Amino acid sequence: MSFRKLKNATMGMLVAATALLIIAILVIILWHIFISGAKYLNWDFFTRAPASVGESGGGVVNAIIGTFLITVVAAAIGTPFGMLAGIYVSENRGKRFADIVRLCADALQGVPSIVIGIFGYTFIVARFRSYSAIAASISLAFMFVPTTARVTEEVLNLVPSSLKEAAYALGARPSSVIWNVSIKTAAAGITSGLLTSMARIAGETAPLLFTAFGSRYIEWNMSRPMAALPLQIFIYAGSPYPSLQQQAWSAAFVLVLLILLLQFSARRLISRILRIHT
Amino acid sequence: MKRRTVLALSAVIIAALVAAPACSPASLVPVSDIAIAGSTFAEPLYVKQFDAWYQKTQVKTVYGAITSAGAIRALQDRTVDIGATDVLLSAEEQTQLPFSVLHIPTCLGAVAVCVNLPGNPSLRFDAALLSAVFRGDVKNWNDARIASLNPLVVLPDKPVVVVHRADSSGTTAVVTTYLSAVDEVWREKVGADRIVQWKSGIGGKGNAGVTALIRQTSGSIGYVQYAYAVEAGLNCIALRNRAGAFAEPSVASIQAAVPADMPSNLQTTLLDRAGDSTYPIVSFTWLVLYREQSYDNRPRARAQAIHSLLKWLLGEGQTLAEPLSYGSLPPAIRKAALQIVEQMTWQGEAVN
Repeated sequence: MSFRKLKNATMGMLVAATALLIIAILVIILWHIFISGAKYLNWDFFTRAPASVGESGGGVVNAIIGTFLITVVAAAIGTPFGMLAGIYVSENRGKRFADIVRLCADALQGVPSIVIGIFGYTFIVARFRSYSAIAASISLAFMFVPTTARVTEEVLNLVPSSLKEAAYALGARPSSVIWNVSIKTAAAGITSGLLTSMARIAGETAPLLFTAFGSRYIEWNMSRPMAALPLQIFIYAGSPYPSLQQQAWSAAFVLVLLILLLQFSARRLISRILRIHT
Repeated sequence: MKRRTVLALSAVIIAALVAAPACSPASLVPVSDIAIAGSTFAEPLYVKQFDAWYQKTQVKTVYGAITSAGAIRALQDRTVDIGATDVLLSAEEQTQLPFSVLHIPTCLGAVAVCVNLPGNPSLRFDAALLSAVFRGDVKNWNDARIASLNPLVVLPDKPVVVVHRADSSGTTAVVTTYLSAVDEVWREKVGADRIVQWKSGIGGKGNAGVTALIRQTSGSIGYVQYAYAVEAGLNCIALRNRAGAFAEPSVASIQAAVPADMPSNLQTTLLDRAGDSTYPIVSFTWLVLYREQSYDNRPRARAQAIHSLLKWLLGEGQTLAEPLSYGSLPPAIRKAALQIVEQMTWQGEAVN
């Protein structure tokens, strides 16, 4: 075997090994959470609020509702800002202000989530003198905007300029080109970006500690303290009682399932958009 | 539109968004909902009690385990109705608060010193030995100082691993205050605080983290709240008390620490108290709230809801303490604590 072939084989094996390693780590984590969490899953777990300490049974429906509400409202607040910023940056490629916006989005993405939480506490919770789910949603929206802006920009950049030029040649106004050509072509990609960003914020604990606060009751009112899955896992995992630690595993299992589901739908949409362009 | 106009308009929109919350009315929370935050130590008990209170009255009480230190901050920002702390607020901490506060004890807790050694031997320590071990002075379990107090125990040849809290903690404050009070060397070299300098050993986060580390590490010794030690089945050391006897932590030995003559504000230490069966590292855990409840235009109904919750916690609520390995308050203390609750006012009038 020549040296070149040997080198090729070695590198190929190394690449395959690292790929396998990544898959193995994911499988081990999922398997462990599944084994530890699945055996305590039952119908009650999805339909009931937590049981009292020391009593068996009870569920995390309060946290499931909380995570759902907080994430959806955060996405609702963040989507317009993120998308519009993304469109602006994409349409004004190369201009100085667009570069500044992109830089700011990247910087905001790098801000540790606990800092976002303290921001939410200082500017919303402390000002209204009350912990609330809406404070959590606004804090999470600050994490949602930069990722959404960047994804929107990247996906819009993929739209072939020939398509847009064709629209301009037909006499379309810039607003019409953006809406009817760019956005419509990139719709699946943008949606998948939104879902990925939602999956990211759904798993955040730190911004919720000082804002959503947690609650043991089923709560629909966004102006009140509310439970969320990551928060509940954090509290239960640190408790002295085995029954609560088990519930932490089950809640972790539900959260991972939820996030994988979001990621999976995002992948499906991405594969759809890639088919469009090839 | 010109670029400058666009920029100016966006600036106006952003300013409006930032300013909007500042103009809104203060509180959005329904009058009867109560928010309490603080101590991680007392969290399981409080949660249990608040659940029972909700079953009874449909008043929702949310509890956030943001640590005793966090409770002070939350009280200062007036984001909670009541703060929960394992240590009394110092005079300096109280001056940082806008109004005067009431301290109400709700249960008794103890800090257990636990070891992980093969065969789970019953060990006896005195304060000097505990101080020496925690300072990293005693490096091996077969040290003569341990052997002299435990002549009947076969001590293994194993390095001593001290497990302590890595985070700021009321539990650490209680232990180090005890050691500073009873051991001069500790007072001079380490002192008492929520965080102290540990010479050796490993740090865990929260009582749960320390509990897990003790369970995993053979040859380890660490301190956790008694409820955690019981639930995890840890081997607790008997400590020499003021009377010279050795006492293991238990609900009875914790309650024995409460002396007959307490000051009316109950603000006295329960560390190293007299009595043959008294466990030496005992403390109250406290709820702290503002004496005058009409701040921030809070309605009278809110003060009343808090008032009835506190009264219930000191009455019927006490029965929930012992099943969870907390010490309930002796009757005399309950009575004194209820009198503190009655000092609550709303616009200068008593709340009831």
